[in-house]
Amino acid sequence: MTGVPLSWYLILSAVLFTLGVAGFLLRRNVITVFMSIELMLNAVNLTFIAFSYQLKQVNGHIFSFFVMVVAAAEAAVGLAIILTVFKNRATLNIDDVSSMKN
Amino acid sequence: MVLFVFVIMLLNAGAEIRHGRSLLAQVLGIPLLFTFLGLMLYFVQHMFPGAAEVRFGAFKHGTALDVGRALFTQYLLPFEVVSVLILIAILGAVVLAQKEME
Repeated sequence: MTGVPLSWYLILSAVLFTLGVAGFLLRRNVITVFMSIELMLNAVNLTFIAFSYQLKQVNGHIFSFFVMVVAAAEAAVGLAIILTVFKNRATLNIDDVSSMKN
Repeated sequence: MVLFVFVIMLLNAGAEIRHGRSLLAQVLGIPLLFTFLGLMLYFVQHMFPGAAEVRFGAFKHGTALDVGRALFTQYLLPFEVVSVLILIAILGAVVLAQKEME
């Protein structure tokens, strides 16, 4: 059974992270932007686990635990904010929610 | 992810409104993203040429025992801080959702 090179994991992580950045910057839907943030966090998780394997330490596992917890907290609060914004303004476009900009 | 699907179902917002990307995004953003991805892939390939191949079961000290032991000794303070953080996030989500009841 042949193994997979470590760099493939890092390349997959880089591709996922770039997809997240692209979605974050190019999409205008709040939920899509939010999912892109989650995608970036998960790409970082994959990097943590890959380096944890490479260095034979469990620190990466623990950091990815913390990243997951922060992502869960962020998702809960962010989705509550999205619900409130949609209720008050009836829009999901982030360009329409710019009253703090002026 | 279930939370996302639940919010999409709850909002019932209809189809996403698509409009053309700005010129800046087309001219500068997308090429810069590809440059970013290419640079990351280049560095990953050149920094770890001799990295060990990842094999299933080769990391003997990454079991739940070791992760738990590190989590509750070395990383006890971050663990507690993260627990407080997620408690605050739950409270924030409840407060945000409460307004809809009134």
